[in-house]
Amino acid sequence: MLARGIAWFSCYVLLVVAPAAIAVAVDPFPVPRPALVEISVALGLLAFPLVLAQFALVSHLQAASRPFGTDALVQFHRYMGFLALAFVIAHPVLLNLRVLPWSGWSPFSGNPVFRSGAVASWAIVALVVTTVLRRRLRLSYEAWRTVHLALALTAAAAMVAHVLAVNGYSRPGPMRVVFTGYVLLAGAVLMAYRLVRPLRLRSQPWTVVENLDEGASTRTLRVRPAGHPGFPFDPGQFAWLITGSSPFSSQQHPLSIASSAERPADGSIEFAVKALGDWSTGVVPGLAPGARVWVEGAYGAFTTEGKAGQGFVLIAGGIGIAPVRSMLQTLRDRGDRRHVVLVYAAHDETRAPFRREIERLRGKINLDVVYVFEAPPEDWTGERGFLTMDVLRRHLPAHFTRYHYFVCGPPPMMDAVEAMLIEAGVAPASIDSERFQVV
Amino acid sequence: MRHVTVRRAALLLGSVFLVCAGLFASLVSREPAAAPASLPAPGPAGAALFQTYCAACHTVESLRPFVTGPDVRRDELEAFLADHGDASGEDDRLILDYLSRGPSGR
Repeated sequence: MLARGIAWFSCYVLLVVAPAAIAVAVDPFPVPRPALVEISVALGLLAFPLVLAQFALVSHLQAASRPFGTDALVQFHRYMGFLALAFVIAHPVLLNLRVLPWSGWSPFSGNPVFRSGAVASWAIVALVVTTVLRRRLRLSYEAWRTVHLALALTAAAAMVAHVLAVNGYSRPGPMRVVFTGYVLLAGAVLMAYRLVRPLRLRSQPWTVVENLDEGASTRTLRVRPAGHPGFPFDPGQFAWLITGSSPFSSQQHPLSIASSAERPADGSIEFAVKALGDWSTGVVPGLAPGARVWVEGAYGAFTTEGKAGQGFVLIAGGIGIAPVRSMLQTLRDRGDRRHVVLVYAAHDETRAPFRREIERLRGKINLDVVYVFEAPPEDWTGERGFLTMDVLRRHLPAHFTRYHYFVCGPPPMMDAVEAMLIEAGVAPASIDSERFQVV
Repeated sequence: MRHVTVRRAALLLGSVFLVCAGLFASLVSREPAAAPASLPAPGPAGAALFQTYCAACHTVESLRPFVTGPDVRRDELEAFLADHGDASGEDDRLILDYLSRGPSGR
């Protein structure tokens, strides 16, 4: 898995630096130009593949998802977006310092070089602003997805137009071939993700079998493949649940699979959905048995599968219990007797879904459960308050460094728990967490 | 802890790409050296002015389409050049004349 990760990462780096490297070899300018101008050009040559590669990072490539985890790819996409923004801004600013008039930033300029460059720059600025400020701008997730795609396509098209209009390093034949190849590759990825994938999913619908209110603002949604076998998954992985009239719908949400990886004969799987936004509060409760949905999976590296360790320490906060439920049920169904410590943090008992089910699992697998409630009732004798170092020290197993750790919950909780585990002496490589709160 | 690894990888990549940009510039650029006094001056005045004011960033081939296209308006070009670069208005006109002459006029 490490080798595959290194191979993918190396491919990415080569993809980004290749145009600049080839440009050095075919330098079409007979007269040497100032260093500031060439640094600006280099940033532009790096920004071009950076922006196009952004499409691939979030195109649900399963082969890339397995070694890194889809949440890590999305996080990387975010960071590379910031980097592309920095390069795209620095590219004209360096020229502004030398020769370019500031009016070149106008997207209404009469000069096609400036116009295309300005449109690309402002589209990328808008991409980042609408992503970082989505909640403040009160953009729904679905609306943001649509805006994000539209701006990304605008930026990419304007960048291509800019490269052609400048006609500098892109003029020599080899560079034309390289730029054309990049555009075709990005177009192919986009088509595969936005067209081929939904068309394939359309022929593989799923049916809602059950939609149970578990309390704690959480619903368990059981879905069954209709006319196809579904897909296998590893405990802890997630899938995209698509609701709406077709797989082209913008209602696409990543959800941890909350049921056993040892699937029943009908191939059904379960999701646990907490009411957190427009879709989970407005659409999910209305998914009645018989409703048609689409499920794409499985993705992610947050899984007990293939993890060495004497046992597992699972630390869940709130709806972070969903993938943990899948892990526990899978251990039960596989007769796995490895020791498991579950630390389950919630506001109070009523906001800890699946508690009764977890209690029943105690007798079936080698499980110790520690509940940590912020505001428990007066007669509560267990841990109360936040999950602290003291709480962890009291409940970590004797040979805790030989265990593998899975942390899933609100980001601040995960940050704190990871820091505490490392402070306690757990190796970072033995800690897995999953973070999807990107926008 | 993958998110920490991703953050570090992103920072590392950002640094590597910046180094690449610097390396690129060092490989392809030099500040234009002053022409030795013994060399003859370029023939047409426009060509010499182009070398002085434009060649640092542009080639003749890359600019000619903007000067010779069917929809090109000379007054717009002169207005644009008035705010672009360091050449005077008269120099701008000579450069435009030079670029307008086409490949045979080089």
